[in-house]
Amino acid sequence: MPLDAADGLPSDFERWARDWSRAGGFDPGSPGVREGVAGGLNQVSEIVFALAIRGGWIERARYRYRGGPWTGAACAFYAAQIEGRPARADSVPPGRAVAEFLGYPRIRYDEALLVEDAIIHALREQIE
Amino acid sequence: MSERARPVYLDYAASTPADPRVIARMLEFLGPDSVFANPASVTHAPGRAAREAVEAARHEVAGLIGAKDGEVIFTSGATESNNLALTGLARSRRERGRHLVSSRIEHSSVLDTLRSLEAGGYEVTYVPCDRSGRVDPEEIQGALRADTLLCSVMHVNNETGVIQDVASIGRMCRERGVVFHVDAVQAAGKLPIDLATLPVDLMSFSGHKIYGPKGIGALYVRCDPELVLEPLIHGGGHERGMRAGTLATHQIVGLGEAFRIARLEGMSEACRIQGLRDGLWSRLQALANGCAGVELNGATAPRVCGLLSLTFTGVGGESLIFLLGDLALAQGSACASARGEPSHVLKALGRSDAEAEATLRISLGRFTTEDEIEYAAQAITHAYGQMLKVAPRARDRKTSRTA
Repeated sequence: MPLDAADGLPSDFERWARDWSRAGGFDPGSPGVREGVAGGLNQVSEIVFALAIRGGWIERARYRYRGGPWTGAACAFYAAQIEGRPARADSVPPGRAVAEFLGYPRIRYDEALLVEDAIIHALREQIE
Repeated sequence: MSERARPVYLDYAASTPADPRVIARMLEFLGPDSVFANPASVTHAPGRAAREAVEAARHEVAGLIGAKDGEVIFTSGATESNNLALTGLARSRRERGRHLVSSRIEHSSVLDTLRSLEAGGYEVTYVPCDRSGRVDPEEIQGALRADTLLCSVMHVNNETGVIQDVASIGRMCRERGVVFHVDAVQAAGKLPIDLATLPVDLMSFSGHKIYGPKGIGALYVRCDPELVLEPLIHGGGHERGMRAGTLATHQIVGLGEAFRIARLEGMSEACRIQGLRDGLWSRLQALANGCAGVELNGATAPRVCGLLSLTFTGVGGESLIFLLGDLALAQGSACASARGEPSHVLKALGRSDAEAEATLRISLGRFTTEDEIEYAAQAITHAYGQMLKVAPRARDRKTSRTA
């Protein structure tokens, strides 16, 4: 999915790194919530992406993360981007495109790719 | 948190500002009406005046560390001092042996020099440290061999502030006839150093870690018995033939003034800074109450006055640094940060990559105030609390994951 317009979302990395409006999780037992995880306890980054899915659409997106500001910015951007989209893999822009859009240095691309992994993991059941 | 006009500087272990008294002294040796002549030009009065200033500075450096004036060699900084000590000694004694001993937690200017020597056919044994960051002198003793030329162990670790038992290690080296080098960059001016009694043969110092200028350092080279170092820089036979190059008078007098101030004020200043450091740690411990935890590296070891190495478990260190934009502090050491790799020191202490990444170094100094410490404590508490709120929780880890 191209990211040229990105639904009018800003490309300012610092803004996204400080935007925690969708950070956190859903209440335990919330209906239709699917979680995907990437990274791990002993790795430098760890991401838990949670999607509230209703009727085949991503109603809301939330995340928890441990990692650098590049990881946090990618989480915040993705969460804003995919809310209201169909719960399908093609709703998730490639991590590389997100990294480029947010102006990441190349050495930080992996952090956006890891967030993409977590979201795809959350969608897997829907996709399958 | 309110924004400050300029960041609170808490990275004194990376670099200190020059003391205003140092700057004033240096200015006497730069302009056309100053003592600017080449200190090697002793055929005329201006040159002799410069030479006198250099020797007065040498006397001040020697005075802080209990050395003889002639045992102080001026260099461009501690990196050069370490290079000259290790490479110069190894080359000058290559016929006697090819083995060196050091620890795994040395500064990169020592470790990289040792690797260079290894590439040139020398063999190096790297001794580990325990979880508190201390190198066990018995481990050093066990590593010494009949063909060991030199042992190098730092006085104070630049990332943890842990003080090594260089007196015991020095005694063991002396008994075995092994030359002992100590990188004392983080110790000078903070701990008493008396080379008249301390069994150390070579010791490295930096200007900009002791409120002097950058671009100047010193190497102590014991005279009795005389040590010979093969020079790394050739051309002029300056500094007992060990370090060629025109002496940078203004830098040298700046270094001398910094050492003079440290001799007069260093120990009382260390007490004040330690009080500030302990106050900050107390506040941060209170923050950790009920949270995942802030851990002090080297907590059980003797540590130098102005440094805290803190692992903020459960959050990203880089994110903390990002949120703490009005604090100037370090993630690992400046030298390790430049490489973007997990700190070799924290790894040697048994920290995982994630823990090493989540470790910040906070270092206080001469110009740190109570107000700044209070501000820093609040800022760190706030940022850590924010990060913990959005960090993954234990129950999240029950979910299957991608790599």
